[in-house]
Amino acid sequence: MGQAGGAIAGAQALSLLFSAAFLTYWVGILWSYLRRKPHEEGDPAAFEWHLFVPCLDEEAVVGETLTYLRSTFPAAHVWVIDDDSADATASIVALAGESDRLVHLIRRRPPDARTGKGAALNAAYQALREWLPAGSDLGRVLVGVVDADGRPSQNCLAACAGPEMFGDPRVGGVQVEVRIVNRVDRRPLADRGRVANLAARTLVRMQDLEFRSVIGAIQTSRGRTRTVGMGGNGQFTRLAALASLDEGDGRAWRGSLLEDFELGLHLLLAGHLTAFLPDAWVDQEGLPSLRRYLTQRTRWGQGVMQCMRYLPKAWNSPNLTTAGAIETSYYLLQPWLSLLGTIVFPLPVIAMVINQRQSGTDLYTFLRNGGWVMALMYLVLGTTPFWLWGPLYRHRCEPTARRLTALGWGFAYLIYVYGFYVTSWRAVTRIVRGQHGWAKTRRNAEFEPTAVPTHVTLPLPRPVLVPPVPALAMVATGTATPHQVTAAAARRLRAVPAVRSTPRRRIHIQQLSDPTASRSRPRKAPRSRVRRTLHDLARPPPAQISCDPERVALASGAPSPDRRDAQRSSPALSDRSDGSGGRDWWRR
Amino acid sequence: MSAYLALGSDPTQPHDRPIVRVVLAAGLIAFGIAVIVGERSVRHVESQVLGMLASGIFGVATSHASVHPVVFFHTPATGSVVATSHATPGRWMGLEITPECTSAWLVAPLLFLAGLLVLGRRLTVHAVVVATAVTGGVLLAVNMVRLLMILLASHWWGLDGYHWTHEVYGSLVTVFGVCAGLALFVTLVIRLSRRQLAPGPG
Repeated sequence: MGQAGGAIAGAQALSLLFSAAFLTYWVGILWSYLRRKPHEEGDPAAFEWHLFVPCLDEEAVVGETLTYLRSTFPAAHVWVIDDDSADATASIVALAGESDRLVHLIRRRPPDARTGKGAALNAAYQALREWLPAGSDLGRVLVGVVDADGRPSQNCLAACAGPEMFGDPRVGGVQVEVRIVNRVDRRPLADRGRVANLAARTLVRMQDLEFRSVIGAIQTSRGRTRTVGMGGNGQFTRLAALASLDEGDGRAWRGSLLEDFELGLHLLLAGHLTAFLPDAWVDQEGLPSLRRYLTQRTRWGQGVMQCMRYLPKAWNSPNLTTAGAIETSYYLLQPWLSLLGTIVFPLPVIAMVINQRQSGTDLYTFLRNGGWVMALMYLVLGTTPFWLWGPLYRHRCEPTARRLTALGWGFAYLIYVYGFYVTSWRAVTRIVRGQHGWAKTRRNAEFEPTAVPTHVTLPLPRPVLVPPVPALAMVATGTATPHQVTAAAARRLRAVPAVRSTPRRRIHIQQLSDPTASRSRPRKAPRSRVRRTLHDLARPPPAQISCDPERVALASGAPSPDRRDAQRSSPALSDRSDGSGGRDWWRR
Repeated sequence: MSAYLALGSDPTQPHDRPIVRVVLAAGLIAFGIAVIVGERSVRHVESQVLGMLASGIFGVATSHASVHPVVFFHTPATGSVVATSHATPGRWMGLEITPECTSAWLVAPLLFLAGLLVLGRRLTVHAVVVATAVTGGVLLAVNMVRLLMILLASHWWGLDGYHWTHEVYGSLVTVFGVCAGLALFVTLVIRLSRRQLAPGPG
């Protein structure tokens, strides 16, 4: 046997084994997906709810999100973690907190700020632990993570409280389904042509299909192996479970790029159950830009690669079933198998072509002698596991869509999955080059000409607090929405000169108006001082820079345009993927 | 707080001791390497078994080459053999088992995988050995069915039969056979390693 022949035979065998493993896995997840049944809801009042909203430069969306969360879940506390935003994010939240005692603002400062989403969530976790009265039953305190543009469904809390979810005391984490809110947007790129918009909306639709069908199927099957993974948006965790992961350093989330998936692994390894909830969902934005999409997925791939270190732990953990360990191993190995697949999969085809040439058989003869059936067979086996998701997605999620459209989605998904090969190679390249830091995936709104949210359903802060902003008068007369006012205030705040001082505390919590004295809130800012600060901030910029600490606390969240520009052009921010790890921020 | 499944292994059992696992893992991996290095011998054996099955079960006259892994079979003097093909009725044809067609390349990765799995404490040695033996047997059988199908089709229908079974039906048999083998392997290692529920941590 020649060495080349052996290598080709080996590659063919590996290709066959990989394909067979994938097909078997696919049949398994499809089976689970098709047999999925709705879960029973529970009483959300049986739990205490806290929603964490990590933010970095989210002025375009955070106000609207706050409004939505507070109006949809009136009993839930909302903790906004401002990770040293360079825009008016903190000010918007602070203003909202003025009139709502359930809105909490957590300020993070350098050098701790922008050190990763996990770190930001840990800050909220610590703040919540401090805020809760001593002796609280952590088992009935539930923490939800919602992106700054996230919209959990109205039944989210009731569904999470169901008997198979947090109603089961063994369940430590629940992941709800993710939906792409802009999937129906016909022109996601308003300033581009028809072809670009077709590609963009297809890309967005693929993300929705992926989350609701493929990932939904994978998560459902993981329910059987008890290895449901956690995502970054719509992730609910029992505080007692988070506390069990805290090794005394105040950290429940760890440092991987995929801190959400890592959290799920930690929960499982610690003996908690995790569950997937397809009956409730969280809406988030899909990315219409291929470039941003590939960047995001490269991070995910790199994050999973980083989590390879958990493979031995998963394999040796008594808290995972054997099926769970196998499933987890398969998931952790996937990016690496993709790398191998890019080498192994094309080889049999190349070998076949070479064999045909050497045997002198022309293509027509080959096809006539059964070759066409073989080609068709490989086409069917190789593509069905992908394109079939289009019709399945229509059947389960979008029943009003046309059948032909659904088929088109299916074949688009077939192309879409090839992106994983690209992102896997990009991820491994980054690992080899020692690049572990990442920049936040920018919101779609940040690319729009006017990034000011307009649809607000609830009154946000009391207008009287910031009288100098002219637009407030418009609220009183009904000619402007409160959120437009907030945005106006935010724009005004940007005019304040940047002043930064080294904070004494790493986390600065501001709960601007909570008259309840029963709970300890050691870091609450005095109400009168905050009011004065807001008043000061709304006035025209002073001639000299003030060093009032309280003022700095608010002003630092709303720097001057110059400062923002300077930050964006600085090497640390303009090239956040430089491996420094000091400017990380992500959303799913 | 939660009940959990205990790890499958029981170190008090003699065959689950670490030293046994290490030795067994080395043995399985060495066996896998041997299968690859000696794949030509595997092909020889396969050609002989193929000839025996074809003649023993289906009454096809077969013969073997001493050097090459080729099984010769006699085409019937009359029948549906395409006259224009090389398989002229009443003559001998040879079917060579090439490196791409042997089961050695399927069994070897299974042995490597088993060698890795047996090192961990999760699975019992018994489970890994049984699952590997059964799955290996299935893979060998699947490949033999495919080869037999090719031989018989070539015997009955000449080169046309060869092409259809080699490139279409044989591939289908292999793909679904390997899928079934993998599913069987996973099922066996899980089922055979399962122990009773043990109380979990608080």
